[in-house]
Amino acid sequence: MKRSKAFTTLLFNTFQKEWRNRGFLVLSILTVLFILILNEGVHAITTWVSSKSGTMMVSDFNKLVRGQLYAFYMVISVWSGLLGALIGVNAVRTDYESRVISQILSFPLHKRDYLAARVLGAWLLVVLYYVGALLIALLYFSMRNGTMAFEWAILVRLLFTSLSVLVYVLLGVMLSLLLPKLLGFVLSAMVGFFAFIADWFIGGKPLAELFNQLGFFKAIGLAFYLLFPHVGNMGGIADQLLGIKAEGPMAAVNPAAFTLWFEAGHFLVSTALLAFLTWTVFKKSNQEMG
Amino acid sequence: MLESPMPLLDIQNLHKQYGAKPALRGVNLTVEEGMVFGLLGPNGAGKTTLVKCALDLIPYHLGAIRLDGVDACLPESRRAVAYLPERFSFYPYYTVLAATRFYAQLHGLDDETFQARIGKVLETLKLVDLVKQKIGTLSKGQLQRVGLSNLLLSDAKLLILDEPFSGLDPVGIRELKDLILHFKALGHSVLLNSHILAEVEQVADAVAILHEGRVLAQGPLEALKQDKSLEELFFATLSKADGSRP
Repeated sequence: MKRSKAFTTLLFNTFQKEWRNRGFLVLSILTVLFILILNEGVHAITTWVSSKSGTMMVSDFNKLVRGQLYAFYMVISVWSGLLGALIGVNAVRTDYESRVISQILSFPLHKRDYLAARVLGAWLLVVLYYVGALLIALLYFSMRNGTMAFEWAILVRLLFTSLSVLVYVLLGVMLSLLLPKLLGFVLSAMVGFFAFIADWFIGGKPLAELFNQLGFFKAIGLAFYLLFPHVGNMGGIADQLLGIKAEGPMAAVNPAAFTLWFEAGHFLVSTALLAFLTWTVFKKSNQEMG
Repeated sequence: MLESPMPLLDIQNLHKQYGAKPALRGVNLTVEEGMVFGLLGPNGAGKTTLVKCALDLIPYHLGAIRLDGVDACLPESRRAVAYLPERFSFYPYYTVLAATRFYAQLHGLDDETFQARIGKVLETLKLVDLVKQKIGTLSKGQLQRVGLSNLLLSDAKLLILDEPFSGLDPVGIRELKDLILHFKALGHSVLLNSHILAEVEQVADAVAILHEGRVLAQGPLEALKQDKSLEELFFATLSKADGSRP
């Protein structure tokens, strides 16, 4: 009972700490601006089409509005990853910087619970941004265009892709304990990007082909592919589990290569490995706290 | 406060190294219930390291630490302890009241208990007028009083204060000494980690003198001092240790 109370307190404290993060505020403002610009873009297109052909088919218009929501979803998915890394590098590091860490850990609380509360709190905050931004965009696009821009597929995907945010948070926390904050953030974003590229090029190729003519870059890519969670494929897992057939930019990173159970299993194992690494680095940081 | 037959803090043969440099070398130390215990030593003697080992903030290499009979490596052991670190700081955007609530929640107190205790705590620490003020706007003395609220709110038997006098003005020092005696009167034991001898002498029942990671002397203050002052005892002990070094 007492343990869960301390955990909840720290979880809430992570929210209180991180919503003040300047990066979070800047990204929130950019998100609103992006919603407005995207919507004006669609208006400009419909006005242009209407002026050329006199009218626009209702089905085409609906497609355009839904496309607008998809485009928004794609962009905030990337932003959420970046935000996860940004809040991740802050969540634990600032406790060291402000010397609050020794006070918190002097309470009857396991270090594991402290770290879990910080990671989970940071993740939940980003998910809140992710869901909130999408719902605001959905409402705004629907009201402004007079047609419902809602897509179940996007909401379901969002639940799954939000798991990839956890990877960025863990990476941010871990790297912030090893490097200066800015460098930790940049490296977290870069690692996520490289892993995405590695998924794209390597995913689904036969093993023999992968190890054939193994050069430096291929070896690096292979290491990323094998060890790092496939953050770009979470939407694909959602689609396959729910029998949604996604097309175009909404399809899995490499649809031909996509195997549901391999991807789900790989994500679980590699994320657990990352969490373990983060815990190990955190324990090491504590040893040096004296 | 419950009677406890065992020492609140029991440290046996504690060894700790930073890299190849030894910080604590076979430290044995006990703090009994109901006493103010002064942990003395020059800078770098290992006092803060010892406190951090006791709170499991940093690992040690050899030895055993028990807090109220519980292995200090277990989080449960810290139910017996509340800690005020050296140069106390907190999130600047919290109000004083929010900070005290945060501590209470980490101690596992429910809201009812918090409400029942907070009035008295704020009054004792002269924080009543500051409850709505942000931590970032407080003076050093006020900030430390917020840190002390953590100790008063808790059910801890042992209060650990790490260099609490450093940076305080004479008024703050006087108030802190009164508070330490107040803690004792309430039944708490206090481990006072300090190098300011004159202040410790006025409040401590027992002391240990730590030098280069070793306990050179330990026991009831009056028995150790005999007819000397604490300062004389301190320097005589240190000189003896340095003089006897090969």
